[in-house]
Amino acid sequence: MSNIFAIFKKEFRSYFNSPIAYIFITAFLVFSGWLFFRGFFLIGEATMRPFFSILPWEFLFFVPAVTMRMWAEEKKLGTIELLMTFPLNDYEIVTGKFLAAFLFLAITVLLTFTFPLTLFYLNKPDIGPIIGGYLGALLMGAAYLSIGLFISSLTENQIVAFIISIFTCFALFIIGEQIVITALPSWLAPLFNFLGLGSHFESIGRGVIDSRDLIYYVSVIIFFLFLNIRSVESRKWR
Amino acid sequence: MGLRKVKYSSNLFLVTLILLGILAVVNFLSIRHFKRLDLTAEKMYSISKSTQTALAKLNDVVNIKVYFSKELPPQLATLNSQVQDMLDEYKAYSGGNLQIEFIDPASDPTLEQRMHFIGIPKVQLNVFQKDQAQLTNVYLGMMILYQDKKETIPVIQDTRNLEYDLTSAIIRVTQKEPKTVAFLTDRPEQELNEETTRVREDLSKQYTVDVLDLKKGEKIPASVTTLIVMGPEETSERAQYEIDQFIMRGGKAIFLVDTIKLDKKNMLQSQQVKHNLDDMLSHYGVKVNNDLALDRYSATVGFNRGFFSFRIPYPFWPKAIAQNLDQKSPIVNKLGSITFPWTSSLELLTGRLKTLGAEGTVLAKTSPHGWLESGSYNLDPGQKFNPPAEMKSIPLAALVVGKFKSFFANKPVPPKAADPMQPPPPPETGQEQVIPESPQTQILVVGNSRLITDGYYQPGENASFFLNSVDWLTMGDALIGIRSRENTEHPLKPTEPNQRTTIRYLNIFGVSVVLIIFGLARAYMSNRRKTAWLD
Repeated sequence: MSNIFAIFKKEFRSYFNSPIAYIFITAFLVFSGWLFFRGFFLIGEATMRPFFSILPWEFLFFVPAVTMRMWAEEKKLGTIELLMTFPLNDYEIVTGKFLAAFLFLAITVLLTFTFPLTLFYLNKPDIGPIIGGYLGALLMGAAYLSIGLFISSLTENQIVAFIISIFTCFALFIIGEQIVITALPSWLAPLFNFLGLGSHFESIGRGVIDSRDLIYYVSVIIFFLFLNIRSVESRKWR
Repeated sequence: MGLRKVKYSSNLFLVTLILLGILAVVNFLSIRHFKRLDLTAEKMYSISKSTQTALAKLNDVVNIKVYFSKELPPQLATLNSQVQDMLDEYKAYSGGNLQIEFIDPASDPTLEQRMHFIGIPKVQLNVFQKDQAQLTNVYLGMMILYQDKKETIPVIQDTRNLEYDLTSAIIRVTQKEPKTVAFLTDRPEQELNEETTRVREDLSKQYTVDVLDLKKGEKIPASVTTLIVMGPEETSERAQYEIDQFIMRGGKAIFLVDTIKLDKKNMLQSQQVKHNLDDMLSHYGVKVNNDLALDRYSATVGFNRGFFSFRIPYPFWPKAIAQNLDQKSPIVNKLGSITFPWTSSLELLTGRLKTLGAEGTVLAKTSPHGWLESGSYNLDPGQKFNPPAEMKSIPLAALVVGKFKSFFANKPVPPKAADPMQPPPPPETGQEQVIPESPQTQILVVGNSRLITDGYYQPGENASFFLNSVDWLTMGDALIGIRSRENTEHPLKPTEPNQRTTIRYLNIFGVSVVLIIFGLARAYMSNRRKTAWLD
């Protein structure tokens, strides 16, 4: 446990000790703020829906940017050899890195707290979908992160990690969307709809916490973290 | 060396497969056994109190047969499970009095032939296969059976309205007989039919809908529970008498009173209407003023001018948002807004209500920035509106509950209108008995009848307002709360343009600026520490 925490602390600090964190967070806030408030007064509704409905697409670019360097950089700089000599289990390193990235993403997303505050200032919004939206965003973000983290461990090139992560997340997101679903044979459609990363987010985002959605996200996270652990381990025998 | 690699990687492959299998099983089981927590304020995605009460009241088995095709086109793939989720919830509240059965009509050719008679049509839908749009036939209906009665929901496209449809169907099959709602108007029947298709369609799901001719001044049938007085252009004394006596018998009435009539060709020309209901309504405690209410915060309206069309806020269409709706009334407290197109202001006559011992409530009013215009109206949306310095909140819809005194007590009974086609009727033997006082009943008054005509009848606002009103008057609150659920809007408070700019930029840049300052300060501090250490 303390090992996980040590890795977590080191990784988390590394974000804020460089300008990366500040640039990243600012870019995210300005971008999503601009998109949200563009039509906000025109629609005239006290709802966060427009913000949350774009979020899966924003995450597609922002989340791989968080994870791309986590393994690739270690490999490139050779610090991975050093890391491997420490008396640490692979799963401890992977979990620590994942938690650091997750906390960083959570902070980034929760810094949009001014949006709900604005809604409360301008009317009394329904708080359920807002809580659901943030919870869903964190779960979906965590799923994207676990994918990005795994892909970063496959390469030593950050750009390659970034692009392949975007592509993989996009693929997993789009298979559950209406565009793809309508083109499928009907016996496959419910399966793909279930597998898609976005449909579960939509369901939580309405303000309904459903055990099915939680279990789905946890499954995705566990699966990719597992792959990540194996891929780190494989360095020892490849 | 190579052998080891093969061993390890096949091992890895196997373990991954096992994990994938476990996760698949866990997810599969979770689909069967799930729990949901509804965080929305209105419990929007759980079945409502009204449905729960209706289900608890069942004392015999209600059968629900769901005729859904197994092979649904992909765009409806999730519908089946959504419907099933909802029905599971129904079942849980029914105390075992709900039997649900899913049937695929395609599985039984004789059944498929009978579907037409059951009242569930074959729906043709587009599917895309191999880059081609094709048609497929499916069934998406439901039948509700109780004793020897049945109701059908012919087509279920999504689950948004399903709860309302299903609960009202259950109430309909289990209730003794449907109640009757009648429109009372002096408009030509065809005109009324054309203008109110949507509202009548919605009402007929729940009630028997009648249209009565006001001009004939006939007795309102005893079967009518709720009377909708629909913008009369002239109410004869006899018709007033019939309405009055209907209320005195305990009938519920909705008065949609127009003081102006709009030109059919040019909507911006108006002429006065003499509806003759003033004295009678004042007698019941509500006054419809001969004016129009305007509001600085109004609905945005699209107008056509030659080749151009434009959308601007139109003060003649006050839009009562949630904070201007009575939050204690179940009729309006869940609505986002109601739009009143060219509406007259109302006044609750407190003195009169006091003598009646009745209770009057304003259901909807303008914002505090409302004002009145009377006389001849300039309805041009392009004009410069000049609100007076003193603006106020103006009542737009009112409800009076209590026992009413007859408007015709101590007055001669107006004679029946002479029908020119018939010889004058022989003088009736004996006086007609005027009922002097009503039992506890309700009347609802709105200063225009336009709000329920097709163009203004929007689900979520005017439609929900009107249907809630009819339901509340007719059925108590058995169904209220179901319809408005999906419609909850939370409109923003009115803001000034520069306030909006401030809010916008504070939100886009505020947190970032604070964060960057924090980062710079941190960098500066650590730099100083470093240099201090170097020194």
